[in-house]
Amino acid sequence: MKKDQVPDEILIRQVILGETASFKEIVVRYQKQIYNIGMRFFKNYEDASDFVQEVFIRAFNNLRTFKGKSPFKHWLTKVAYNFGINQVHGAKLESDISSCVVPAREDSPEESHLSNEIKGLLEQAINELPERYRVAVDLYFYMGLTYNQIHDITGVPVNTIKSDVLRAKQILRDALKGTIVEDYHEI
Amino acid sequence: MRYEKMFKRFLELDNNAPLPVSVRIYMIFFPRFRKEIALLRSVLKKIQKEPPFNLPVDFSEDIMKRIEKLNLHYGHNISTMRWIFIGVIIWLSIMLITFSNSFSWLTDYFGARLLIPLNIVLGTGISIYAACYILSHLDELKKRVRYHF
Repeated sequence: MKKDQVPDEILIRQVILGETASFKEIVVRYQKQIYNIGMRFFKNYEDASDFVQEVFIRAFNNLRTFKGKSPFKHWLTKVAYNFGINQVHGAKLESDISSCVVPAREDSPEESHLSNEIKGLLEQAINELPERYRVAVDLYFYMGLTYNQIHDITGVPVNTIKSDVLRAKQILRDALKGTIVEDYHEI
Repeated sequence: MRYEKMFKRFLELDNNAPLPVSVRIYMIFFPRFRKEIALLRSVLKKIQKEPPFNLPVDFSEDIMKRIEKLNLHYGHNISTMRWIFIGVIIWLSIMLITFSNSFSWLTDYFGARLLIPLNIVLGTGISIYAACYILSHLDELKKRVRYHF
């Protein structure tokens, strides 16, 4: 979270006290992460987009159940994960993920190339993991959640998460050797 | 061998966990180790900032429009029990005021003519309180009235 940012919990308090507009800031903050969870579950843009909208509507409807015992990001991820699991169990969807990746627009060409290379490497590492554990590893790398938080959300044992994350990191480490990422870092 | 052991210790770290002392010490003496850790840390940080799938559009406007259409409005709520409790206190105060010393002093001073205006003032007070309750629970009361009739 940036230093000058209003904490999530304060925004939620404002929404509960009647300032519905404050919820927009929450959506802006987390839509990217929720979209990524959606893409991991549904593997296509249309369903992932619907997923984002549904998750935030559900979160808004259930805001009173957020007691502030854990960070809001954690609670929202749990809402998204449970919804995703229920939807995926309802319908099996298959599509090509690689065709859905939208290239970054704000970066310079070098940075864009670099970040695409890193993304590709991690994606490759994650794809080597069993399908059912990929979301858990995503939550670690992309949402920055801890092993215990991921366990609370997904129910995957902590040791399994640890070993999968370790595997992904090792693959990433090996893949980084001799790539432009290493060269760029040296500069 | 030790290099790999130390690196594994680093890889096993949880998100936001501090570096173990042994790893820190090793970093001081081995520049290559330090460099490799710095590289991996910067890559992991970059990954967290940039998830693999970029948002195709900003969903916030659409979501807020859908929320506006929902018939759900949060607001500051005072529990019904608290309303009743305060109402009872006001009502008891009105009932008991005639037995208080201040009331007898007032009647001695102003005479019996005080009784009617005082009752009007106290009656207005409890009526305003009841009106506040009804206005703040209008939707709920409407539902109950519909349910019973």
